[in-house]
Amino acid sequence: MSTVIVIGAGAAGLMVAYNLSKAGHKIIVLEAQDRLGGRIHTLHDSDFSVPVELGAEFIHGDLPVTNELMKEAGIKRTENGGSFWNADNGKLKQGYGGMRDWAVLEKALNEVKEDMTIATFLDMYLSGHEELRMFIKGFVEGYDAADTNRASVLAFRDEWLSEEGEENRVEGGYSRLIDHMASECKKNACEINTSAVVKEIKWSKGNVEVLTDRGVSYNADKVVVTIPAGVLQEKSGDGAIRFTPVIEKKSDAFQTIGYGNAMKVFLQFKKAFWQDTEYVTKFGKGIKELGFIVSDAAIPVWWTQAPVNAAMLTGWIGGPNTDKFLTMSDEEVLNIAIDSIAYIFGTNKEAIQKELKKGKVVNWINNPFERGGYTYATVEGLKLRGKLDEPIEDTIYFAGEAFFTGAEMGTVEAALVSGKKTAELIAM
Amino acid sequence: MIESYIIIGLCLLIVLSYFYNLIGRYLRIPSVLLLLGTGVLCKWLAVYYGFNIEIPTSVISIFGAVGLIIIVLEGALDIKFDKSKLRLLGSAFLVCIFLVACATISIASLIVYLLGSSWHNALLYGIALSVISSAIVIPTVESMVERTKEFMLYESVISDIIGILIFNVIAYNETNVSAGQYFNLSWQMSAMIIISIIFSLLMVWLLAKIKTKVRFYLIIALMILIYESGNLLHLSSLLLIMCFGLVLNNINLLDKYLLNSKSPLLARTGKRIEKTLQDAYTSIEGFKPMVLETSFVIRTFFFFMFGYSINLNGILQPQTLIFSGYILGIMYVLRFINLKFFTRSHVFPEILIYPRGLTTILLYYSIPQANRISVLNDNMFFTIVIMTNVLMMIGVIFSKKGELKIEEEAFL
Repeated sequence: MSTVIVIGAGAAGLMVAYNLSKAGHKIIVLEAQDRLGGRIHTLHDSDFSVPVELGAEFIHGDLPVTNELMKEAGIKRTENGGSFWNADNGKLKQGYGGMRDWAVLEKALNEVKEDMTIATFLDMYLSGHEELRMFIKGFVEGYDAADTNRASVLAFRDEWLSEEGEENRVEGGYSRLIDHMASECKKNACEINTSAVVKEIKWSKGNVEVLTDRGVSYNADKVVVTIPAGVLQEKSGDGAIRFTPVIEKKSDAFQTIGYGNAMKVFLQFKKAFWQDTEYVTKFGKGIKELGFIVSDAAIPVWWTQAPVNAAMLTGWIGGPNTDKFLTMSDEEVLNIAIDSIAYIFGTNKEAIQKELKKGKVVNWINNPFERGGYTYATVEGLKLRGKLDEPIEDTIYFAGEAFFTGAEMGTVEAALVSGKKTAELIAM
Repeated sequence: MIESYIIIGLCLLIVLSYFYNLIGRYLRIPSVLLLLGTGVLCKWLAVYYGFNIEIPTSVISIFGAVGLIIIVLEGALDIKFDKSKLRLLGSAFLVCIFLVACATISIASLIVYLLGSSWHNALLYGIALSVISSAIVIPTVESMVERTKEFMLYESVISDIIGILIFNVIAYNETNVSAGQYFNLSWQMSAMIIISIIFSLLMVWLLAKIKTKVRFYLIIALMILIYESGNLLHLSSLLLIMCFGLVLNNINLLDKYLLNSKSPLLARTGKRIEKTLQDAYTSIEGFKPMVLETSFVIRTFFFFMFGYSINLNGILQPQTLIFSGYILGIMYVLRFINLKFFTRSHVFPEILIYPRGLTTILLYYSIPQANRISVLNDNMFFTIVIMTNVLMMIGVIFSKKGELKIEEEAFL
């Protein structure tokens, strides 16, 4: 049995550690942050009425590996509820808005023979459908955190045309999955160190020496790198890792991965103000079951915790749209968030502010060990599909949602599947 | 055939250990160093001649468990309650708790900072490295004034016991102990103390009643049986061993208390059980040397096995030396503070008389696999044991004649 160092204790890293330690390998996990989970981070704060998912929040459909893990850990899921609303030009209406032209999009997608960027696809196939074009651009940038000038239409076609399942949340928070894997790892004598920032990997076939920023070195037979693509692409920076000797070809290939940012704003109100008579009269009874809002506000997407009546609104900005928030303080972002909510509900800022109990902002690009939200498939990246995570000399392995090749790109399921696959490769 | 070789080897090892004590006393070299050296040499010879026999970890664990019991028992048998000494015992207890806690927290903080290990794991290593070897301290304080001597004796014995007890509590409890669990833990400890006292009295009664010549090992076997059963149930079984030692050593107090009691009922009971207590008292006299001898055998085998398990190349790694250096630095700074401000004795050479020995190694081997930290391996513990003992040797050699009186046990 070999000694394996796993860099990163997110979903992929812990999945590798869990599977390999179960198979009897000696595992050392080195995590740069002072907590486990990576882009899964459930905050338990008494000021918020529910556990706050600062990172991953939803389970998108029926996902086999996530399901298996949840079953094993005895964790339940709660189905998302609530009604869908859209707000264009400050008018909040129940319904899906631009998504009514779905059939047009489906037809255009099926006509595509060769891969191209989403931007090219929109120009070539949907030139006469301005509303739909804007909707798709907004969806790709917002939901998939992708740049339409790089994103691959074939990869997105797979995702969009695949059957959509129910949207769920993890009861008690996504971090419960992380806690389960970490505790299973510990039972298998796996060593998990946090605040251990890896700076360099010195390697030769069958031998690695991993050096941390505090001058500690760890020796092993193999190393599995599970850091986010954004950090993997960095040449310098707090989270960047130097390989000695360099792995030039691989490093170049990593640059083809699309990696977008994600921002979340959490507003906890004293009560679910949108259920007040004033708003019910204005928008109808349906507002009481408010679930999801897509709007043209500065912070465009918002959702509640429905069916749980939690008086909390979560705001979402994805992809290139987060750029303008980069230099802003949390206070400034919260101000914009309150403005957005006032605009959506057609009321004044003071009315919203009066109801506000606490606000919180998370901009994932500011985390030096995450550098963004999640990956998307690019045209150049799709050509290397399946080759990116090929190990180097059976010594350096890679895992993470960035290396997943199925339809559920950029998800926790993708990270878990990739981690499981890498563990199987090493255990072979 | 192989069994004969093993038996011959084991016997030779005990003979060698006695021999090391003699020459160690003469040459002022701690026999710990000689035993570790023998282990290292045997491993080198075994590898060279292609007989690389690995000592099974189960053997080390068994020796480890018995070793811990014997150390706690030996320590408890050194504590005699006396009205006039209660204050001294109390202050020694407080100083000891303070120092063990300071050293443990300092070393654990260093581990958490450098490696990012969990506090739970770091504390286990911190305790293992913080307990001083009472077997070494006790004889070195022989020449000191009576009160200081007694203080240091109690302090070192309590350090061993407290260190081992806290280690066990942490090792067998969850990483994040909640307030509820602490309550549960204290309740468990209180229940264990009551059970232990009842069990100890029962053992004393057994000691008094068994008239056959063979009885001490029956008691030891019963204790190990209870200890291991307790461990299976995650109870602090070492408390039981400590209580047994204390009850055994202080049984005369019960005798005195009952006989002098003003209550006619208690006095009558005292008279009725007086003979039993007297019998027990006589039996105990033979029990102490036996524990001491057993402790010698355990030490011999453990230091040899530890030396045998060492990879010499690993010791010379810069990381091992740097880490050991950090930990030694913390240990000796705290030792300095202790000498200067608590015991108010000489700083030199006492500062160097601060070796890590059997308890440290036994605790290291007792760290569960799930809580192991790869960087803090055998090599690092070996380096710390060797360095502290070499420093002690230097301290002894350079001490003025009569300043330190080192008995043969000092080198055990």
